[in-house]
Amino acid sequence: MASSTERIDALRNQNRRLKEAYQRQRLRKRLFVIVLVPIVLALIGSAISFGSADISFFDVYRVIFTRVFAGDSAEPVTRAHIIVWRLRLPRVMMGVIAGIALGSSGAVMQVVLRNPLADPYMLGISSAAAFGASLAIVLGIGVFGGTYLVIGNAFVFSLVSSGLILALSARRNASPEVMLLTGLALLFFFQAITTIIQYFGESDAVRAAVFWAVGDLGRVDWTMVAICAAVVVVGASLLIWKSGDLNVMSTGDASAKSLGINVGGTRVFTMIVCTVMVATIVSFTGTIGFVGLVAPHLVRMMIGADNRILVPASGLVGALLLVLADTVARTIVSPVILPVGAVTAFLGVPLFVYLIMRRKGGFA
Amino acid sequence: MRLSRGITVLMFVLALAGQLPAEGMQEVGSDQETITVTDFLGREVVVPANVERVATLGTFMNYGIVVAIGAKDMIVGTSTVLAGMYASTVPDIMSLPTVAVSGMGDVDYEQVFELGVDLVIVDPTTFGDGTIATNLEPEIAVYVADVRGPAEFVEEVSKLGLILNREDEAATFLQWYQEHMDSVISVTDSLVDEDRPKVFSYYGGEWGVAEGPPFGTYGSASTTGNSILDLAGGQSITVNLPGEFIALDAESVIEQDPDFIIREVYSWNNLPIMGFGIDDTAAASNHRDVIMGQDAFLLSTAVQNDELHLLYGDVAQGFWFVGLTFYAKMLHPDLFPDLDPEAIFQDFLTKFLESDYDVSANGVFVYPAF
Repeated sequence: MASSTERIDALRNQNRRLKEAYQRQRLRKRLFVIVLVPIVLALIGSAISFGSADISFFDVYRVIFTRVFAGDSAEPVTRAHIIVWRLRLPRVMMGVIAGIALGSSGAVMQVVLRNPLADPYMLGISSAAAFGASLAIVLGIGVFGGTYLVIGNAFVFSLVSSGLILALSARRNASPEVMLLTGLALLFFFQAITTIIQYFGESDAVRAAVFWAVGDLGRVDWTMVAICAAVVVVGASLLIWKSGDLNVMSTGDASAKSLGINVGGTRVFTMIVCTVMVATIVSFTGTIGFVGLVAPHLVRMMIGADNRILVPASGLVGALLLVLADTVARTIVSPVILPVGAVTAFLGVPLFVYLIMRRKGGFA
Repeated sequence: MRLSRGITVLMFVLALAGQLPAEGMQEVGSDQETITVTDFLGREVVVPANVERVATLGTFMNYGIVVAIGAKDMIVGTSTVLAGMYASTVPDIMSLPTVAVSGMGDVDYEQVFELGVDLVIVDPTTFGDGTIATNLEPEIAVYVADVRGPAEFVEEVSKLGLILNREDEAATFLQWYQEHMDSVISVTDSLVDEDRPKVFSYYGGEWGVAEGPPFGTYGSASTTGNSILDLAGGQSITVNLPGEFIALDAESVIEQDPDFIIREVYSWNNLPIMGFGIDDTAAASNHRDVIMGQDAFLLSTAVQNDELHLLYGDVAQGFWFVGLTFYAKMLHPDLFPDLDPEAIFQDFLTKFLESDYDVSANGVFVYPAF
């Protein structure tokens, strides 16, 4: 029979092994994020080399390096300059930014709403944005005018929808069930009004409105990229900052409250951050589906559910998926461009289904 | 492409000589109460021999052609999109019941029956999967006509003339049509590829109301878009691309470096810059300046040579045979010094649509003006 000293040693050994295993797992998770960064950078580097115009790899990077290191006046406005600097690069960068926003928001939404089907559009953002865009495109009614007619409408109505949901759910202790149900209700409400608007619109205008909703990265310029980048950098940082609290909330509202977490406040705060980020992206690109739903699941299947890693990694995987899909969308039947929203699902679904089939546990 | 131009010219000559056979038509029944006509989709449609009440649905020219061949009084119902298109030129249309809503292509069948319609005329797109025919036939004949482009135009108008008992009027209209088409085609048909400028024609951003990119334009399956440019003596840079309405990458436009860029401006763009209700060219001028500054166009030969034109979409693609004269004048002003597209447009409106609208005093249809 083992003495008490031996039993204590055994427990110490077990504890040490557990600690080592935890540290190895933590290192693996961190490595996952660290490795993702150069992969995303490499993908950006490749994506800007492909396009319908025949520009050599050398010329692509000459334009970029000249612009970056020598400033505005160094590079004359040439064909290569316009294609690389004004057309390709903003598009690719918008793919990265939108992917980060959608991926990280999706991860947070799934945790906060305690629903594996949750995505960044859960609070009616996409349907409200489509309604705002249809209002502008079909009827010419907008909050702002000119270039920002459609963008402004999409943004304002996205915020109205989400704000309404958050205000209503706040009256019921910000419960995820109330958020989900009011979100779904508003989603159908805005879809219905959009259909009615489109029903009475001219066929070409309706077609334009429908295409707007499909989502595309080609309509952006550097100003738009800068606006989205600022919002997403701040938003994603806030989500990562709150990811520790989200870990605690994953164990249930009661235990989170007992550990001093303001569950309702955190839920509303993270939802506001997600809403502002996604509404900004949707306003400039239209609705690009699938990324926000799938990226967090892909990451969760690979490295688990630690939100401190899951949130940034989902953002990077989202960027990866979106830039890859966009490169395919603009090159596969070049010079005709396919809607990136459709290509994203086309490429991502097989991978997603494969991982689901391999998975043994649930999706909680 | 050259062959199709040749066939089109031959069709005009035959039409002028009054020898064009009205194919696919046969009378049935000893009392001749009905005739059977093969419509554009190859359907055998049994139509009353004496049609009195017609509903014209769908887009673009269905209504205009029925009016042009003298059957305006027969029209008892139309669709919202046609009402919008003809509100300025044929204001009478606004008093007609709209039996179909554009966009979704839905038809108010009860109202069609209520109006006692004998014949519904639709375009192939609106006809779609044939639900209209399923719901209305055999009580009400549904005839599919495609007058949206030059390929079948003479045949289609001839058949409409026969169905509506307006053969003489249809012949008169076709003679006018042929005269103006021939005035262009007889000149451009002999142009070799080197003499045909490269043209990029687009209708704005494909995904939204902005200008693009990507640019919404026409592919090889387009009925009207590229064929009109070809007849006008140009070469569309998108003619060989697959699809009907396509989204074109900006890089491709830069690569192809068009000699002419033509922006079709539609009222549905919510750009109140051109059309029947606009009399001031300031908005068109500003819009043109914005387009000239587009990254995709900035270094193009078209912009360098100031050959970027705005053309009102309902003229470019709606009244496309009038649009042809505008395109020809834009692309080859030296070959058509005496061609006056505005006068031809006015002639069509006055003679065939019986419209009081004065295009020289009202509206902005092309910018810069010739």
